[in-house]
Amino acid sequence: MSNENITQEEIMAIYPKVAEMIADALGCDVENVKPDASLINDLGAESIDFLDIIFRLERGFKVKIPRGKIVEQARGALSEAEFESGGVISEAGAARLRVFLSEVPADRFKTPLKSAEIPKLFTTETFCKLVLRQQRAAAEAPPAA
Amino acid sequence: MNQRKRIAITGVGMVTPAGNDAPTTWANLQAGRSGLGTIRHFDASGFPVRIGAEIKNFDAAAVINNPKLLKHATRPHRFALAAAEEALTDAGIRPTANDGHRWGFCVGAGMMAMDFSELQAAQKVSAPDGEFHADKLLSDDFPADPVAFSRNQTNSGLALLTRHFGIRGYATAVHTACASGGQALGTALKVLRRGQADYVLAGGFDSMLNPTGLSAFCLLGALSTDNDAPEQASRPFDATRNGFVLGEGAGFLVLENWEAARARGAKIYAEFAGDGNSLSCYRITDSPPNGDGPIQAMRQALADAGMTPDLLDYVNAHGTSTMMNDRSECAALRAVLGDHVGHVAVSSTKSCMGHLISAAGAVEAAVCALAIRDGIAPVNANYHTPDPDCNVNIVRGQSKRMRIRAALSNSLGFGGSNSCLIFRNPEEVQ
Amino acid sequence: MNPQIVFTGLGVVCGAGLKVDGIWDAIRHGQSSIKEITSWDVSRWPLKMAAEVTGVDNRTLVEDRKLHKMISRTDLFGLYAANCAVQQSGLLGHRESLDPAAAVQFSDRSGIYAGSGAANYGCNYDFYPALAAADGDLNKFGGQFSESVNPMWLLRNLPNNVLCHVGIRYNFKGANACVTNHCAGGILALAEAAATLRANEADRAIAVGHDTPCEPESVLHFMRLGLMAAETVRPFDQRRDGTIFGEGAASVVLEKAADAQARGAAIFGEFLGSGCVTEATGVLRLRPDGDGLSRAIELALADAGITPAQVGLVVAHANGTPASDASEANALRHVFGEAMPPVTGFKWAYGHLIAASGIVDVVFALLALRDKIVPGIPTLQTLDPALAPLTVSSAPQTPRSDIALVLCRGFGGLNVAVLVRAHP
Repeated sequence: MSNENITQEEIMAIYPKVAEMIADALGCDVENVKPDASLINDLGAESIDFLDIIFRLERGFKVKIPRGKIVEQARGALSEAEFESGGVISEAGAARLRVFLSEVPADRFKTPLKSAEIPKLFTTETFCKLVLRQQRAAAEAPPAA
Repeated sequence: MNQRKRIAITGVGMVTPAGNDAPTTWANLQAGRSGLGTIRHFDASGFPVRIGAEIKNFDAAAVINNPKLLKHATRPHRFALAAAEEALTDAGIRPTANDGHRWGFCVGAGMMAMDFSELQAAQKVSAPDGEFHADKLLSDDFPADPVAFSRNQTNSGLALLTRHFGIRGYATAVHTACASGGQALGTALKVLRRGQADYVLAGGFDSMLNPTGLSAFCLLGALSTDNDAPEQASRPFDATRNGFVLGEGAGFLVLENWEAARARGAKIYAEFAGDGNSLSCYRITDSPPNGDGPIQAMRQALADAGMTPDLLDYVNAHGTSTMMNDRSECAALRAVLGDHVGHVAVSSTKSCMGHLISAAGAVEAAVCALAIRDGIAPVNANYHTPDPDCNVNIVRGQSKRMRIRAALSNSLGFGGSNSCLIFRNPEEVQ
Repeated sequence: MNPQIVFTGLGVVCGAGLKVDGIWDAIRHGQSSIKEITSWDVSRWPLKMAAEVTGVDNRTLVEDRKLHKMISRTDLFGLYAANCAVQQSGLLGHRESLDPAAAVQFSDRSGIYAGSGAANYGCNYDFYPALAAADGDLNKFGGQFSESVNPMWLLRNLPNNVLCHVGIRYNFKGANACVTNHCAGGILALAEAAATLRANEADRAIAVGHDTPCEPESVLHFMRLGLMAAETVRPFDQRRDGTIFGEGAASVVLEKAADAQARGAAIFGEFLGSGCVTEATGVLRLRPDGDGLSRAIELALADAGITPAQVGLVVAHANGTPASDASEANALRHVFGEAMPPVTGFKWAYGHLIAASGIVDVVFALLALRDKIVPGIPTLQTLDPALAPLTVSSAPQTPRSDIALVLCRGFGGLNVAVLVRAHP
């Protein structure tokens, strides 16, 4: 689940297709779906749109993406209590997020960061990485019996 | 405000996951006994969510001894028939051939009509490969059952109940998602005040607890996934809440003119004192974080009841147990109640009986009527970890014995329709 | 004393067009939009006719692309009609002219009432791929539905979508309801909106009814029940054999007359009163004597404070089914006796819009009053002698006053009557 070894080339290879799906889901022009665009702040996405985008990505890339698990993946080895308390992300949690969401410009991470605000960080690249990660997980998984 | 007709609640009936009649439901809500569990009436074991708030051991034939009628009734219609029968019996009055035209009917009706088995049967013939083919409908194998068709119309429940009970006056069905039951009661209040009826049988019924309904809510990620702990899965206002638990059921009330009810010596649970109704105009599933929308509904309801917030003692919250709804509702309660917020007991009985969708507002209105009668604010079960964003006076641990001068019930629906109802203790009516 | 309630905006989309005046011209010229169905291949179907909305791009109906994935076809119609009515009313420009506090108050006092068809069969077909794959195995279905069913499924099919999105679009935040009462939905939405203004629970309201009944599985069931016509709707005719579906929406803006006059708005007529009753006969049956309809009309007359003699024309439900038309004729004779005003009906022109049927008829009743004409029913060749006397005609008639009575009937024994008056 580490993402350090996802290369920029890999991301850019799928970016056009991901951008097109996001544009379709948000009813906006594909030119506006820049790699670093925040889906919520720049493209007006609401929570329901993320479900739609995941659905489109799953079908378009033939991958399985567990629903509502982005934050759980981000948390990695940290326990829920280590990651956040009372709806606010801990320092360790924030450090972990910065690595996991390395594509998000540093100045967009507010301190303190509320867990409810994490989705505002997600960019087009975040979803490219999500697809790539799931593709790898599928490739690494032992074939189904 | 001009002289308004005063409206009394004189009968209540409920079929809920907490009990198949009003007394059982009310006893279990007071005790904080959960009606939630693993879904049993269909095999949900493969679904991401396998828990729900089901109606259990319900025998419609025991209440409605009319096999032909029941043939025309879907699962939620049966709940509705039983709850309405209980409400009318409780009120001690029912429509007759002479006055049926002065009885109205207002109902919040669920959006799902077709039984899952009917859908499967239709798919087998018209879409064997998954793709729908219109021409296959013309095949003799296609189950074009006219009785099923007549069960599955948007107002089939209305048709069934008005016919069975002989209600011949104003009749309407409304659907504003989770606010439907509240809006149906609000409409009933208006119908009575306008003089379009002397009595109204009003309520709501729903069951989306079927494979397609469960799928639809799973897809939205709106449900609690606590499959291993169903009884604790619905925990409105708790910081660890993670979604609602889908329920089913029905609630009905008999409403009539206050003076007429007094004159016939009816027992009066409460005055149905006010209705407020607004749109959030925000987003379709998201709730406005600052409570805008619900705020207007509550203020309107208070104004309609001719009341200030300090006269309220209990709020039966919408309290679905989703992150966003509960936060938004609390923000609205704080805005409306102001300094008085700490003095108002708040609970969501969805903690024990799940979310009854179109029936929720009606059932919760019935709960308010019983809460006023018995002087008990029912517990908000499963509330352990306070959420700083839900800073209201939640009925914690156990139900609270207290005199309730007036109670408020919120219903806030997908799509941003907000319904707020206010009920006044009959002793407070001058 | 009830405040006077007036109409300041009208909008319609149906098989006959997207503009109120264009549709009205077609009605006056006896042109019907009932044609062979195009939305599925009907070559093998015994019944092939409907009044569909064809040749219209979805973005002409609703500009916002993103919305298209969150709503269904019926909602597109509802939003389009509501927008026509709102734009015509000039309310949005008026709100812009207000100071900020007054604008907030304006929005909070603006209501929306929708009458929604809901519960189409087609929406269930989205589950068919998953059902076929599972082949009766629920366990399998539970594990796989998310692969083929769109996460927006529930939202797309919410019956209250038009209510919600009209609200978001214009920021109208006041009293509201979504009536899902079969054919009565749209006209009851209008009646409830008017009653809300009268009770001073709002200052203005949009009412909209919308529906898309024309889908194969509905046609099949209506056909098997003997409710569908082979070719066209022939109200009150000896040869009438059923109804024909249409699709679309109609919307009106209602305001207190004093407010409308103060802001100099164009006024298209006045709401006088309504009546609504059920016959308590179950879903499909209706009383042959027209009891429910007679009572609805009498309640509407009482609500408006007028007598039958003051009614200048009747837009009947006239759906062309043998039983409904016969009982409707009985009700009209019961209420009006020998002194029946001219009677017409419009379903021959744009089909039966089910949840939108009553409210669309109100719009064209207002135009009939404006132009002082009662359009003829061109498909009426021989009045069924069993229904006589009945003042219907294939030729245009002249209203005897400036008041129209509009009738709407639906499943569940529902009968609704609405009275409107021309604005001088």
